[in-house]
Amino acid sequence: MWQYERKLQYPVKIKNPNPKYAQIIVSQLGGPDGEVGASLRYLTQRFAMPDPKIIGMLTDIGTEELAHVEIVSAILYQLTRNLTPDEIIKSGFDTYFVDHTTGIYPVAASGYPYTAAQFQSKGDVLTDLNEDLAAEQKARTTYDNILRLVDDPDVCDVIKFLRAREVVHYQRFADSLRIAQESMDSKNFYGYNPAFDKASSRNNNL
Amino acid sequence: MNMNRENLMSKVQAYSFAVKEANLYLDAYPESKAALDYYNKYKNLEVRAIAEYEMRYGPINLPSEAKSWSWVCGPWPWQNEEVK
Repeated sequence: MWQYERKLQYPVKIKNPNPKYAQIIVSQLGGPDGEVGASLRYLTQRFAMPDPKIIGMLTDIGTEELAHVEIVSAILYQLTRNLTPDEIIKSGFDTYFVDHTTGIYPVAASGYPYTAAQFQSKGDVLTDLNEDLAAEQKARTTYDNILRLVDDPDVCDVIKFLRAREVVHYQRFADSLRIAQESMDSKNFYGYNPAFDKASSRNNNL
Repeated sequence: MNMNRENLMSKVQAYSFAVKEANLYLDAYPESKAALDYYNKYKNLEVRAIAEYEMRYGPINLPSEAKSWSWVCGPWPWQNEEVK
């Protein structure tokens, strides 16, 4: 069960609207390495995890990603206030605007709508945790690219916070991978499937 | 899961559900005195039931103060078997 907390995890206060920036940053909502996919990835993967500590990590990071969905949406909302049709056409935001006006919709910067085809929930401890480590790095790179293209301190401040969280999540997933590997039988270090083979997991013989 | 634990969880779930229902109703009818009374009654019962459950069986919400970290102890809510 989830409860909504009526606050942003990090404040968003953007003085100057900029639809071009919104069109770039929307990728971190519905793009291939965006926050919607991140939260769904962790919140689906946790069911097959045999280790309660790693379930906790996926639950808590997946929940934080939902807060990041809200932060990215707040950025998009503030960047697209009070636009004139002229600004919309000149900035290139028209291709988004025609379908969604200034509503918040999860798409990649390319315009491709959010799809679950961009992540995996494989039901295997090593497979899923390695995907999670890669996912955090891919999101971090995307935030780096946004920082290369955006030059408004109000926007960059929030993007830097989100980028730093990707780095921390990467470290926590590295801890999770270590915890998982420590509980595995060293003879089966690479090939085993401890999430599926419940009998071995009960013997602590992953 | 022993019966006491299951019963207490049922109470928490029932009170939380009543609170959620009142929450949605009040979103549409914020002036309703009857709904406010209903909300207050069940929110109070929910808070007390959660406190009792957490004292006996472990955290439902993140603890306000923790001497040890039982947040990650199994079983998780969807696991109907006992987990280490």
